[in-house]
Amino acid sequence: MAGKIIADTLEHSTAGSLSTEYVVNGSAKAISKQTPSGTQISATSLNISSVTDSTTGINITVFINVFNSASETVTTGICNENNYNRAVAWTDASASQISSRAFRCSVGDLIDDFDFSMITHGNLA
Amino acid sequence: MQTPSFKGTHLFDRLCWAKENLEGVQSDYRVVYEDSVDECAKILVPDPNWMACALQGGILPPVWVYHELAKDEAQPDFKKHTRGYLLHQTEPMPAMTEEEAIEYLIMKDCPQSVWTNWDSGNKPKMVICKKQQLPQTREWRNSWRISDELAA
Repeated sequence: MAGKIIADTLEHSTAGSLSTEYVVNGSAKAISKQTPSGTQISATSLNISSVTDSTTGINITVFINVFNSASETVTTGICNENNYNRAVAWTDASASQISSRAFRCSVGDLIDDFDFSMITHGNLA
Repeated sequence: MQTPSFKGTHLFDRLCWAKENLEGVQSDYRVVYEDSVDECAKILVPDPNWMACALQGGILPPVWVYHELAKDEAQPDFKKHTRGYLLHQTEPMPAMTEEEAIEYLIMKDCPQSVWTNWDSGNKPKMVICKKQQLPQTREWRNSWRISDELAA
């Protein structure tokens, strides 16, 4: 790597100090913005090897650097909205992949007519 | 661009380097597979930044590392990974062709039961195709199957 700063603590002149553990542990570890058919929409993806379009509304996103365990992935998703409110629910299937379920809040059915994003925090292996 | 010597560098740091320095490569290849007779065909799409890493070489760990970690996770008493160092300390893979990268990805991301027996049975369980060969709309998506006319 080009440069390296080794520090356990960041200290501000008046606002106090912060352990760099917060920075390391609090940064996103995986990012994806994907279509229902599994294509990444932009070059923003990070730590993703593939997305599998499993069926209507269900995608499987696989990580390159796996997490410590399934329970150590913390994922949030955002979706755009058309005439209905849409939501994406995430299942931490294993330490190496996560499954999404996209559905309409009003009806509750799985649907694949909108793109959505994924940001995963947590502890990497 | 020359890949820095990454052996011993945390895999996540390598991915951050790749994202900064490599242009994403969106492959036209798709892997279609069926892992259950009761479910429709699944379609695996390679990530562009991952493909760039595979083509560049010196970044991704060998695929056997993922298999070892999967074995650990399959143990009934598994709590968390304790051999994550395999990802970071194993000699990275050299540059691959796009076709080799797809083979690697199949062994990494498809269920082992599919790619070890893909050509047994009445028809193939897995097919590598180009994006243009898939249906162009998502109509009847839940009924998509690998064609019976494909020879195993």
